[in-house]
Amino acid sequence: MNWGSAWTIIRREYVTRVRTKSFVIMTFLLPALMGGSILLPLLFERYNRPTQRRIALADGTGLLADSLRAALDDTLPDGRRRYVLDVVAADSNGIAEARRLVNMDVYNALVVVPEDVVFAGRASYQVSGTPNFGEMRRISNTISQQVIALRLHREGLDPAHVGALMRQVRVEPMSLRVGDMPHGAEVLFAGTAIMAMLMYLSLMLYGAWTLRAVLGDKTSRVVEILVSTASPTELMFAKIIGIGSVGLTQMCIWIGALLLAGLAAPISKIAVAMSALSEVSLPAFLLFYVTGFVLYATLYAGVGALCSSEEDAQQLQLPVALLLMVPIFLIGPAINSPDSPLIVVLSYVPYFSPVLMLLRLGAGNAGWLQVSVALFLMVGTIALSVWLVGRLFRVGILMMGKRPGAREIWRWLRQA
Amino acid sequence: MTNGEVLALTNVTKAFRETVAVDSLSLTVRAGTICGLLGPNGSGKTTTIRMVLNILLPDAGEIRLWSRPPQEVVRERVGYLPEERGLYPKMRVFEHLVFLAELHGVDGRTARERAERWPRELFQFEEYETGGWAKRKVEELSKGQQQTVQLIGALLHDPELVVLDEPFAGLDPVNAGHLRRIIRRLRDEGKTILLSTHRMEQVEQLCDDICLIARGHALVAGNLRQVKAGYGRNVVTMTMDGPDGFLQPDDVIAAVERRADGTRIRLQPGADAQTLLRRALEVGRVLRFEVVEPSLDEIFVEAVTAR
Repeated sequence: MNWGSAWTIIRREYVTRVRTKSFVIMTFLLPALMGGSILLPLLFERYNRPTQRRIALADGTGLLADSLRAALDDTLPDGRRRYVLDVVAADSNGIAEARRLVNMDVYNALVVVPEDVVFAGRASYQVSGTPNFGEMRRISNTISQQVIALRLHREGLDPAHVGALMRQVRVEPMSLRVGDMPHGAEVLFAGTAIMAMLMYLSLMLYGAWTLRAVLGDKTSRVVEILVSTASPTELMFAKIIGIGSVGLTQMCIWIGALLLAGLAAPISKIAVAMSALSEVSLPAFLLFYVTGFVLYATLYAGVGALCSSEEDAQQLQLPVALLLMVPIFLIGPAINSPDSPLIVVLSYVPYFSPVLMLLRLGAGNAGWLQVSVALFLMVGTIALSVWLVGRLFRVGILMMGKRPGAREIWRWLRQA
Repeated sequence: MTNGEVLALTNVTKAFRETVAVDSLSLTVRAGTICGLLGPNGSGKTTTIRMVLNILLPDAGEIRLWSRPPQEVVRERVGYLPEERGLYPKMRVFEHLVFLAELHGVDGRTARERAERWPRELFQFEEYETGGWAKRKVEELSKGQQQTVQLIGALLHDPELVVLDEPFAGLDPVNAGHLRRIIRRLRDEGKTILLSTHRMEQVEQLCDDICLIARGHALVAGNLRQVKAGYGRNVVTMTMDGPDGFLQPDDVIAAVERRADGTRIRLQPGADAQTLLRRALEVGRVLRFEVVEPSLDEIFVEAVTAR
């Protein structure tokens, strides 16, 4: 073993990449994008300019118009009412005419409440295109309340009194880890989800960089010089370590920035969430990141060694990328029910552990014992894939030209 | 420098699937000499060199550098210019040179110092500093300039053995001459050079020893002068007035090549040049008739056909 050359290769890989513009841009852009994806809907809500909506009401009961008007009482910025409610005849002619007007966009929507709504419990909200669900929910709630009041009245009960008795109990989520802080549990939840996303994005990004670095050595033909001073296995490790360090550096910058933000504003949600996360998840996050990276980078390096061109690589890396994407589809279910058997089983699959076991840990569903088992399995898988990919690497790294087929790859694995 | 063996290959064989690239090849390179590995394309030159550089492992046979296995000495004592030239296109020339030197075990300070001074002082690479080369990116250089950078990169760790795979490929005559001067100076400094080429004339101007290989076999090996002497003076150059249609391969003539400066005739082994002269005089006036040493080309063709 000749670690002098490997060390030189690692250093070059690290230094040249950390200095690239794309590294600097990604370091700032990715958090900005993630922040943007959270902030944008909020901004949209705040600055969205609503327009006036004209709604036709065909009310078979003849009792709902006033209460609906009262419920839809928002005003536009210029002081006009946001909703204009026109009562139309509830017979078939009136409804047909109103429908025609909806189709001509004179009305934005038509609400039809049949006469027997008190018994049948059905009404309709008709639009020409896609329904505005927010608007529909408000109308539906108002109509329901009125109809319920009507039913209570018929039974000789006082709707106001019953309403007071039926008051719902509000259950607030509270995570003991963040204590009594308002919305603490939600912040913790969001923090865990964001960590899982960061893990995925970084693994994908730097995995692909490993592939391109190996491919770059091949296409630039520098590889021949490299393997005359270091063995292919050392070269493979040097590439993985060099680029992994770049990813780790970026990750540390992000985490450091968050911790600093927490220090600067000690009572902010960020601070509380970070202190909660750092108690358990942060060390686990870094451990999963490092092992997860080596696991995926080994596969990507193998793909790089098999390919001779970007086009080949695009195709051949697809299975690896898909493997990495599986846990992302499971983020939702994993956060909602981290103890479901499917999630528990999958969280021990080494290629899914970095995301799924991290989520379970964040959700309080797994402890360090489970994490250790997952890490142990991952390290075992790394050993196996290093051994396998190392064989492919030794043969493939000097091969240029046609991409080997499955049979040839199998032959390399056996003979190398 | 002792005149011992720097490199010794003993019955080295390497096959890729069914294709035998190098077949029981033996070769020695003496210290302080320029040894030319000759052969047509696909004859196994690059495979041989890759085995010497420990990039490929031989299937059979033994390779020794200074009597030691290659992996122990290649990194620090051997410099290598691969056939497929390659540098990182986005790296700056100076940084790339430092990288290559460090790759071969030179410490950082020495590497930077050499990358700073050697290109100009040792290789008369005047443009290196004045033209701001050192700071330029590799991809901004011409192909010839990139090759120069790569050659310098292969020499910055001051190797005792320099292996050059097809060093003249793609060079114009001026640059080829420049490279020949560099190679000779390296030899004069006591270094040993192993170079491969399929262009025989480069070898005749440069090499002390040669090894002709074809299809993985060594056909002829040894000191260039002795090899040539060993083939005897069995080539005639002749200029004549009159029909030269009688110049056909037969029991005296082995091969005929009509060149602008006269006809070159290779004789059959053991044939007498005087027989040829008599035949020529019968049909016309002989203006020039000279018995000369065979060129390497001719030796090569003869060696291949003799097998």
